[in-house]
Amino acid sequence: MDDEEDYTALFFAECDELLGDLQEHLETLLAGQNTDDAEEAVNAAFRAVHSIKGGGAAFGFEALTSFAHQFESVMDLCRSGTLVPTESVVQVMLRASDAIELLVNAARESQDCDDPLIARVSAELAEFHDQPAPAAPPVEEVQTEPAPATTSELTEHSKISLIPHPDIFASGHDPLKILRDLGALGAVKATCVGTLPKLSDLDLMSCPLSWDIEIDTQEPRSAVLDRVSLYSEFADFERVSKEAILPEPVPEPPLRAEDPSVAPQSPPVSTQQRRAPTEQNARKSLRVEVQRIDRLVNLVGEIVITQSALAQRLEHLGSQTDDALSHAIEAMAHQTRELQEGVMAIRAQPVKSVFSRLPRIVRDLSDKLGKPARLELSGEHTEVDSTVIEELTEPLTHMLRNAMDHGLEPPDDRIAAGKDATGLITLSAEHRGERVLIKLSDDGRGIDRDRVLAKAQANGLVGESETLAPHEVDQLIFHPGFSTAQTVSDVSGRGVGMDVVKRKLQSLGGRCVLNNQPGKGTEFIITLPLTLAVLEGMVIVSNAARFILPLSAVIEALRIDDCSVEILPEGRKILFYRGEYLPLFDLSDCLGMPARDGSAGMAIILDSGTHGLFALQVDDLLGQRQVVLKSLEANYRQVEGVSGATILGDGSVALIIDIPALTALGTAAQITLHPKQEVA
Amino acid sequence: MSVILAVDDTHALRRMLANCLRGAGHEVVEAENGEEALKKLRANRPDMVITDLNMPVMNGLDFIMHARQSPEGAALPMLLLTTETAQTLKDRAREVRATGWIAKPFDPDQILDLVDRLA
Repeated sequence: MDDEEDYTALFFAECDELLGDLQEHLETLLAGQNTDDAEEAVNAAFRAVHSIKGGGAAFGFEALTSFAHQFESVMDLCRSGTLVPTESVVQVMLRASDAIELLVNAARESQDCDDPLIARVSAELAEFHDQPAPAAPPVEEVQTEPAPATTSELTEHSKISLIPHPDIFASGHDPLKILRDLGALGAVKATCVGTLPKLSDLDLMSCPLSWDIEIDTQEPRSAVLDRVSLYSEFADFERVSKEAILPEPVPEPPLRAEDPSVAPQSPPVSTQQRRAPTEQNARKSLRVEVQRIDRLVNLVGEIVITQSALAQRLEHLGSQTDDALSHAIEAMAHQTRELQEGVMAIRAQPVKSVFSRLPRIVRDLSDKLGKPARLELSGEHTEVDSTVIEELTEPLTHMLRNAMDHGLEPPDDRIAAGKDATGLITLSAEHRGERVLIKLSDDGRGIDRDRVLAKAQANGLVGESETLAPHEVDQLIFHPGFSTAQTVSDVSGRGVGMDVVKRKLQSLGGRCVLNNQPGKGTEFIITLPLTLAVLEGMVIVSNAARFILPLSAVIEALRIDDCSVEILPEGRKILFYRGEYLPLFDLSDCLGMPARDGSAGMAIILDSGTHGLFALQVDDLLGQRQVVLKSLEANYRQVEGVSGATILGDGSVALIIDIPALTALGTAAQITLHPKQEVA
Repeated sequence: MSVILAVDDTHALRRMLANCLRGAGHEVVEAENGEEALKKLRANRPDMVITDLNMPVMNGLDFIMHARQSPEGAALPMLLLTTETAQTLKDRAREVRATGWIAKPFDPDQILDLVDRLA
C-alpha cells in the first residue's frame, strides 16, 4: 500500500510539471504566428492534459478526470482543425488550465473543489462543441460530483506489464496464449522485454522474458481484471502506466469508497480507490532552475581545484605534517568527490528528451523523400548530464537526416537488393564505463567508397595517385566541405555535413566512429563523456610539461626499462605487452615537441576505444587527479591531440590529451620521422 | 479444435463433460482414474486435461503431479474439476502445478471458455 501512496505523490509531482508545460504551450500558442509551432503547441498541450486525465482516472479523482476530459476534447477539436485556436479560444484554454490546477490541488488535499471558476470555464469549453460530441460529457453532469457515465464509450487505453513466474510453463500456462487471450478485449500491442540467454544456457521450462502490453479496449476495466485473474497466480501483472484508464461508470462512487469489502479488491492492474496522500508524500520532487544547478556545479568544480591544491601543499610539507591533518584532507577529498557526484546526478537526464523528437523527423522525411522508414529506439532511459543532452540534438538530427537522405535507398532499389521496402534506422544509448555510447545505424546502401574517393579527388582532398585504405576513404566524409549528394536537397546535402557533426561531438569531448558496410548499411558509434564538467585524470610529464590522460582510457602503467620494445624495419616501435605487440608512440613526437632522449620513462597502456590498445611513452607519472575541464578552444584555439585544459592545484595549466586523436597523430608522426612508408 | 483428456470416475459426469466439449467441436479422450489417464496422456497426446479430484486408484492431484514429470505433461494445461473450494486444496493444486480449477457443478460455457483460452 505504501507503494501506492508513492504513486499518488509521484502523480502530483508529475501534475505540477505537466501544468507548467501546459501553461508554457498555451503561451506559445497565444504568441505563435508560425503554424508549425502552433500545431506542436496544441499537441503538446493536449498531451499534458491527457496525462493529467489518465493519472486522475487511475487514482480515482473523478472531478479532475471529467474536467480534463472536457478540456482535452476541446483541444482535440483544434488538433483536427475543426476549431481554430484564435486568441479568444486560447484565452479560454488558459482559464481552463487555471481551473485544472485548482482541481489538481483539491485532489492533492483530498477535498472537493467548488470554486465557481470550474463551472464557468466548463460552460465556456462546452460552447466550442457545436453539437454535443458523443465523447464529451454535457456540462451539467460535470458540475455534479459523481463521474459522468458517458466516458465509458471511449476506447480505454491500458498499459500493463506481464511478468511470468518462473514456473509458468510448468503450470500449463503460456505467455503467448495469455497475450492472445488479452486480444479478446481489443487491440493489443505487446513489446517484449528482456533477452534470451544463449541457446546452451536456455532453460526450456522457465521464461526469462516479460512483456509490456498496451490494450485499447472498449470493455470496462473489470473485464480486463477478470481476464487477467485466470493467470494472476502464474504471472505478475503490473500496471506500468496510469495513462488514460478512464473510470468505468459507477452509479454511486461514494458508497464504493466507503465500503471496504469492495474497494481493496483490485489487483495491481488498476487502482480504483481514492487515496488521501499525506502532506509529506505529496511533494517528493522539486523543480529547480537549471541556472541554479549550474552555479552549484561550477562551485563544486572550484572546490575540487582548491581541495587538490591543499593536498598538494600538504605533500610539499612532507614529514612535517601530522597524521590528523592528512587524514582530514583525505576525508575531504572523499567528501568532495561525493558532493560532486551528487551534484552531477541532479543534472542527469535521460536521453529520451532528445530521442523522443526524432521519430517525428523520420516520419516527416519519410513522406518528403518517398522512402518508408522505421526508427527503432532503445536505451532512452540512459542518463547523461543535461548539458551534454542539449548539445546532442543538433548532431543527432543531422545524422538522422543523412541516414534518411543518403543512407536509405528508395523502396524499389531496396526490394531489388533483397531488403524490406521499409528502411530501418536504429538508435540506441547505453552506458559504457564513464561514457555514454550512442549508436545510430541504418540498413541502407552504406557509403559508396568509389564515389567518395572520386569526389575527394575532384575536390583536391586526395591526390590522383594516392591509394587509401577503405576505412581511410570512409573517414573522408568527415572532411570539411565534403558532400556526395548529387543534388543539394533541402534535407541534408548542403555541403556542411559530417565535419560539422564531428566537430560538435569533439567539442563535447566525444568521438564518432564510422562502420561502413557498402550495400548493407552504415553505423555511427558516438561515445560521449557523461559529464562535461569533470574528468578523472592521470597526471604525466613529457618534455618537462605536465599533461592529463583521461583515466577511463588508462589500462596500465609500466616502467619502460621493464618492457621489451622492438623497432620494426620501417621504424615503428612496438611494445610487447601481455603476449601482444602494441604500437608504442612517444607523446612528445605525437604533439610535435622537440625530440628528447627517449630511453627512460614510463609506458602507459591506453585503450584507444576504436583501434584497440596502444602504448604511450612519457617521462614520468605524477599521480591520479580529478580535474575540472576547461575549454582550450574557448580560451585559445583548437589543438589537435588535445581535448581541453585544466588548472592544476598549484595554479598551472595542464593540457588534457585526446586519446583517439593521439593514435592517428602517433602513426603519422612515426611515418614522417621514419619515412619508409608501408602502412599495414 | 483441441484434443481434451477428460478424467472422472463418475461415468455420468464424464459423459456430460465429454458431450459439452464434443458439442463445441473438440475431440475428447476419456479416462476413469489417474492411472488410466497417465496411459492415455502418453498415447493420445492431448492439448489439455480436465480432471476430477477424488478418484479411486489415483486421484487428480497425484495424477497431475505424475503427469508434470512426463514430457507430454510438463507444460500441458491441466484443470482440476472439484466440488471443494477449501484454500488448502487450492494450495495443494498450486503445489502440484495444476493450471487452474473449476468448481462443480460446472457451467458448460465456462468450461468451453477456459478451453479456448488455455488449450
